[in-house]
Amino acid sequence: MILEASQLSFRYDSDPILSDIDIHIGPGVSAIIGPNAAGKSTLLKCLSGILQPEGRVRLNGKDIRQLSVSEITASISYLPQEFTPQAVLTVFETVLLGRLNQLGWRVTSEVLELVERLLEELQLTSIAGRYVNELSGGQMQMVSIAQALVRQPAVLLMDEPTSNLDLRRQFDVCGFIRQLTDSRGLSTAIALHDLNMAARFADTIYVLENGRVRCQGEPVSVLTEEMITEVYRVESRVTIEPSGRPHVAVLGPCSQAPTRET
Amino acid sequence: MSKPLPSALSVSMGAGVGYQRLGRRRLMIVALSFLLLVISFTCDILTGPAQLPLSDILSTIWSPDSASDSLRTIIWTFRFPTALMALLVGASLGVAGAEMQTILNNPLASPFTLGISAAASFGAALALVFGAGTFVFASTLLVPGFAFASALFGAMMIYGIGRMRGGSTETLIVGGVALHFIFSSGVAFLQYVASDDTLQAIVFWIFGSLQGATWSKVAILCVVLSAAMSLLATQAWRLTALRLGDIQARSMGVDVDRLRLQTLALISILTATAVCFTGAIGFVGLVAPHLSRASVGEDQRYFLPLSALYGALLVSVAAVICKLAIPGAIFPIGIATAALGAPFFAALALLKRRAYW
Repeated sequence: MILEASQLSFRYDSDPILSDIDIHIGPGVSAIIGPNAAGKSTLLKCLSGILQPEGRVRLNGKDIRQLSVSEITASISYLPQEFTPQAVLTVFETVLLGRLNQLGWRVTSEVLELVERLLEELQLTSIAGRYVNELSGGQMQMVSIAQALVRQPAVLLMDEPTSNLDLRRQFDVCGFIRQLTDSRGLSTAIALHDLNMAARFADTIYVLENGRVRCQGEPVSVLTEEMITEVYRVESRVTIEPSGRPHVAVLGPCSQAPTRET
Repeated sequence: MSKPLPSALSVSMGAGVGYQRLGRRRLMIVALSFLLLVISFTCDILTGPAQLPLSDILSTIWSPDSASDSLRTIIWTFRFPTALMALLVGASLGVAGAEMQTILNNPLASPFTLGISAAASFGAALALVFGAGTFVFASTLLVPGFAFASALFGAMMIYGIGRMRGGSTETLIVGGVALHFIFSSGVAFLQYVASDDTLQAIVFWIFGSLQGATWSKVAILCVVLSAAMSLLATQAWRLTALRLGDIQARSMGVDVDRLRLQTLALISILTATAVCFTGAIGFVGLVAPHLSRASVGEDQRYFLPLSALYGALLVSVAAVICKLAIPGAIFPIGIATAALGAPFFAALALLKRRAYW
């Protein structure tokens, strides 16, 4: 399934947040990177149909505005950046809610088994009976990821899914999403801050800066020292690993503002 | 973590079994609460200002035709409707409070937070002040009618504010609190200009009372409560999802603003119907959902009926205590529900082992 946007713009009141975005989320993992307030979260909300932007968003060629909410949620699963619920719901119940459209007064054994299996895959079985409002930030994030995945979407949009996770969990979760994407032919877009995670797990990287796509392409062509200096204002050293993927070593902040080519 | 999610589902039940066990435990709690309610209702029927032998009461219930007129009147005209009204009003306020807390994502929300009760009090006070010359007519028709109309008018104003501004919780709470103070100042003004007798009637109405319950009022409230609960039950999973936050619920396909406004309209009608017959019985709508949440969590399939049962139980027990504490006197039920509910509420906050909000 292909999710694409053309000439996408969005403004909060009169402040432009996104301008003339063209993006193509096809099978594989696309990483969306950029500094704070670049518009990454807003872009994902526009793509998921939560926000109504100007321009066009198409799902397999169909304008998303012509699709019903249930049609959109049947295909697209969006994982928000913030997930700190105060609800008195167990982890199992919270993940179960991901199958909202299938839930009746009685929950079928198929849905129960699906949730159970996913909790096992994400190593959450031990906390399945705990209330979500008692979990740590990292555990809440894992529950949120589980809820996004249990919907078995064709398009997966994840807003910084690893921001609260320890190093090992970041690798595990990104690896799991990568594997899931490959095995099911998903079209996955992940907003990330960690450039090395993007370099390691993404097929395509979009760099957002001030609400516009600055550049896009394979990690090796996008993650350059020049781009990092100009977009993030830090000095870095980029090396190419034996796998052919770039590795970014951040050296420190730029001593002075870089000069920009126009 | 290394294996992809399988499409064929043939795994041993572990977490799922725990979930099903939790569901059975919650059903047991709901059933036990229902049993307690039946006991409380029976006590409510058996007690009253007239000291009647148990055998007379039972024979009047089983064979009304063979009982004396006075016994039949006491049991079937006064005690039964009053006891049923206690259950229905309590259940209505419990349900309204539960859904108010859910849609506003606020633990202090209750049917009275958004000024619906204050609006009802204003309507009742208006009827009492201007209909004072026809007191019997005022107390039976004018007061409930004005209270209902005023409560509904207040609810429609909040609904209108919500629709204009997209139905956000902040807008609804700020609009509702403003409305509460506007109507409260209106009630204060009417109390200021009222005669001594009317002032007393207004104060009594605001405290809440089950006196004046009739079979027709019971039937009206029963229909409204059944309809409201049925409609809310169809949205049970969506209302549960709402507690995970607006963005999360939206991402699951819930039309959050629409659900919030529809639920608000429904519980406004329910609250208006309940309080127009009995006055503002406080604290039930606040404490019943908290007790329910602590007992069964927030899966609305259990949370909604248990909030109704706890609300009904609270008012029913308060009614019995009122009759036993001051025999023969008509004691405002609202004072008893607050006195009974507040310690539960405080105990829940102070002795809790886990966060219920």
